Amino acid sequence: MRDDLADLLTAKVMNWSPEDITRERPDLQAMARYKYDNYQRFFPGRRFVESLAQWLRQFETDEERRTAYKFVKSKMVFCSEAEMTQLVSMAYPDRIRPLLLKEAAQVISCPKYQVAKIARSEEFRVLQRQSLFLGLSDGAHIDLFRRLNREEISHEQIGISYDVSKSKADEFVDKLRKDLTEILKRTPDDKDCRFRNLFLLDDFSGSGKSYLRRADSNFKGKIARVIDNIKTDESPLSEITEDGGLLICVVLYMATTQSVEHLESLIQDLVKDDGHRCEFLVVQTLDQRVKVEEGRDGGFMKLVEKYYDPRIESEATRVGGTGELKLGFAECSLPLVLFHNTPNNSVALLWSYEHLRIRGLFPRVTRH
Amino acid sequence: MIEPRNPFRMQASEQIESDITFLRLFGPGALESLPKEDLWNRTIVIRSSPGGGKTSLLRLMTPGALLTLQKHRGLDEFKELYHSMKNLGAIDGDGPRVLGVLLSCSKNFDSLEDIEINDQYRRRLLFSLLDSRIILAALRNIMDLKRLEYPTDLDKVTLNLPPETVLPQGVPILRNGEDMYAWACETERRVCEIIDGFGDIPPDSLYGNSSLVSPFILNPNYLVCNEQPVAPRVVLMLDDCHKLTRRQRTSLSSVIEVRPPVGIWIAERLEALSKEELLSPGAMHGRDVFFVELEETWRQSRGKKFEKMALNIADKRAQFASNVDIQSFSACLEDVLEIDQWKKKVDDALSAISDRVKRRIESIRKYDDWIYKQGRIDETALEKAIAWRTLEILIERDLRKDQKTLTEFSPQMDIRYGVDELERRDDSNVKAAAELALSSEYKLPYYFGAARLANLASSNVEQFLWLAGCLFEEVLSQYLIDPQSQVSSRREQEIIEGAVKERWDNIPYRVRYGRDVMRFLESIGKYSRWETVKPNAPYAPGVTGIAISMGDRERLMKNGKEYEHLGLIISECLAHNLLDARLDRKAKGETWMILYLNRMLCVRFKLPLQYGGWREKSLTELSKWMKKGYVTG
Repeated sequence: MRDDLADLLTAKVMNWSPEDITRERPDLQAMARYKYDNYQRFFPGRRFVESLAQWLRQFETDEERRTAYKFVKSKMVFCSEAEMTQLVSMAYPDRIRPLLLKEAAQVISCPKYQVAKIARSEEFRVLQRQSLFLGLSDGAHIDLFRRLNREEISHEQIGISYDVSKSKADEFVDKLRKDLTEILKRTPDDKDCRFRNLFLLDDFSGSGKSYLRRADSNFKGKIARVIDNIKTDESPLSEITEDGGLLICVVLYMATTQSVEHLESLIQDLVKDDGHRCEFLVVQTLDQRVKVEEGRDGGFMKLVEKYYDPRIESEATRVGGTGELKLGFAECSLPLVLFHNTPNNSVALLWSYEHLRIRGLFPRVTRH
Repeated sequence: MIEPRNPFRMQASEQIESDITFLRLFGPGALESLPKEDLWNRTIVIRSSPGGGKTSLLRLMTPGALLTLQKHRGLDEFKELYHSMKNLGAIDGDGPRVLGVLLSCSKNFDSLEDIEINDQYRRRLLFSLLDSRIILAALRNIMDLKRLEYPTDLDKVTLNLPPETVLPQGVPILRNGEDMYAWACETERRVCEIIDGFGDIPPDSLYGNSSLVSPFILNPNYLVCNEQPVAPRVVLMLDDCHKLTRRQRTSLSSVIEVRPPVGIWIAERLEALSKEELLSPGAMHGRDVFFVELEETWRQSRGKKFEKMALNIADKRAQFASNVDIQSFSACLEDVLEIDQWKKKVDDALSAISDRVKRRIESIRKYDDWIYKQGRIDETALEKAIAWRTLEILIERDLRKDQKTLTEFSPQMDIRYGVDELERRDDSNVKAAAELALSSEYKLPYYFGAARLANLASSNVEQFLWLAGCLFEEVLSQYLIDPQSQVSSRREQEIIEGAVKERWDNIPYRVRYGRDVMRFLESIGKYSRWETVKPNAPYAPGVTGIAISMGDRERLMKNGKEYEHLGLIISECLAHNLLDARLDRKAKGETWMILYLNRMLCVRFKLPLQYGGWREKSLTELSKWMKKGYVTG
């Protein structure tokens, strides 16, 4: 839809006077141009202002529309592609490397503030090389991570997926041996040619439950599968990682505190018998204040309750522990939109599917 | 390029990337600020407050703009500009007649001041860096002008220096563009190395030239490309010279004294000037140097030229907006009070004022003819209301006169003022005062219409575009709903008041000593308002400024401790066009420096927009205002 038509539609839906249009239009167009138009799940030809107009039109009263509009302007959080790239670029230098430096400092018994000395040390370089980086999903942006850190991390220690094949695992080890020979200036032992650090990367976690959850007496989720692989003798991943004392580090570009708390509470149980250690690194944390809550956002919560189509629910979403998805998967109650797809942890009113009775502002495409 | 929704927000020349867009939005009237004679052979210093239009003038002379103008000279929208430029000698049917070399002085030059070296060496480095960048800019511009590839085609440029030419030590033999390019790159590299270095500079590694070489090398007689002269004229344009330090600007002025063979245009903001220079606006032109103070130039025609240019720019910008078909910006604004909307208020005002006047002079016969005449006016209600309010002021003035009339000595003599006496006393200033008073009292819009908008800009293009941009946003909103509608006078005033408030609130962030400046201006504003609203309007149409004696001005300039800060505050106000100064005005047997408020500030204090009314103040009182503010009365 043309910009001016979309603006006109919004003005009519909101019952704006010319004065209101003067005040709001520059903001709307700036927001749209800056990031919202780049939402990748709009169907061709649709852009933000038109989507907003259609979304607002669903509400019955002017008061409701004003509440919803205010939510979009002042509460909603949109992570653009550029912003996500920024988070990816920060992951290694600002989160992972400091961890490796801390580890190396312990190995060489050096105060951790002597960063240059630690970074120059052979022990740090070895530790850095003995780190394996695997993506937990497409959202890990492994290609970007690889390019952004090519000065520090070798191509040969990065893998797109945590499901590593035998041939790939052998390739990892061969290259590791070769690089360690150059660093150590000698032929490394076999035990050196195993990865001591495993970094699992992904873009976002809202509840943590898709990564790790209890199901009866077992654990399920991606992290559970990875750790299972590590423990299984015949699996390629177990053959290339250290037997005991492996550092497993989950690196999330964006995550809620709820998610991190959930993962931290479970993961120790998963690895306690094997001597492995676990860490969680988050580049951008979304804390409790971000959530949509009754106290702060009472008006919008009423809309969340009222405008809901239960056909949005599915088997996959029930894993979150609640039947309804009004507040999103696992009731995360987030106001978050990611440029490539709105997470279902956000309130349903934001991401509800195109074909349902209530359509979201940034409709989601389901992966399940 | 993304089409702008509101083209008025494309404010700085630097932001408009495309030459054709730049030319489309450029108002040819701006060229009137340039001197008519000797434009290309002398040094011209162009000054203004931020947003005055300096960079736009310089950009117009660059190859990109000239070639684009030449290419599109047949189109209606460019004809006027083309003819103006042709009259200046910048272009003709064969193409550009001038090589304009534009260099911004905003990068790195001031870093030279941080290096710990002696002044002589520092000067040499300054000239070297300037030379290298001027040469590189010139080569690039030659390539643009001749539509060649930079730097691949630099071998096509020849430099025919006369055999007797002696270049400074360290400057190699320069025969062609490639030689010049290599030398300039190497020079720039070495100077930047010195700037970026951490270690001590060996005292014997004196690098650089003791004078500026490039203006002499770029003599149009020497420059040839593909065996043809590059251009009959060369003008070297240095922009953002306010970013140079005071010492560097002094060094630069020494170059001008040597009268190089190319024109040199220097553009700088007023804030670069010293307090003494700011308190001496309208500097004398020298034989070698011509000063253009843009806002001052526009004011000289009582603002009419500026109004014409500004509204022309506004029309161009309006036409440039995407998704709307607006040909005239002025036509989108109401410029008279809409009768139906304001009828009741105006009728009430007319009735109240006429009753008030009649009550005031109930038993005084001498005004009877005036009252009678007023009752017979055949005009609109608004015009009648203004006329009654004017009469009220004139009567009040008369009643306050000390001079007694014959009637008071001898009541039998019935002296009446005739209608001709009324016509003699009634002038445009009193009418203007009456209109403002009427608007103020009955909350009628006053600050509306295209002409008043141009006045509000205080001769600054950026200020005009800011205000017009705010109004244009409303125009666009109205257009969305009804393309034929105009912005009402009420809305115009509301928008202007909002825009002015925003600018006012931003003063502490934009201006040095911002809080003191605000307090000072607020004092002038409140005082002016107090004087303006007096029932007899003694300084009709109203007071919009204060004046200090020329003697006091000298005291301010002499840097005495007592009024040092006041001098700085006034300088800041002048540098940022918050006040504008008029020197040597004669009144009451003395000469004065008048400091008028920026017209935009007149909105804040509900003052008229005409110049004229001012009140003399001592430095002591102004100092008190600056420190403590103004207390009414």
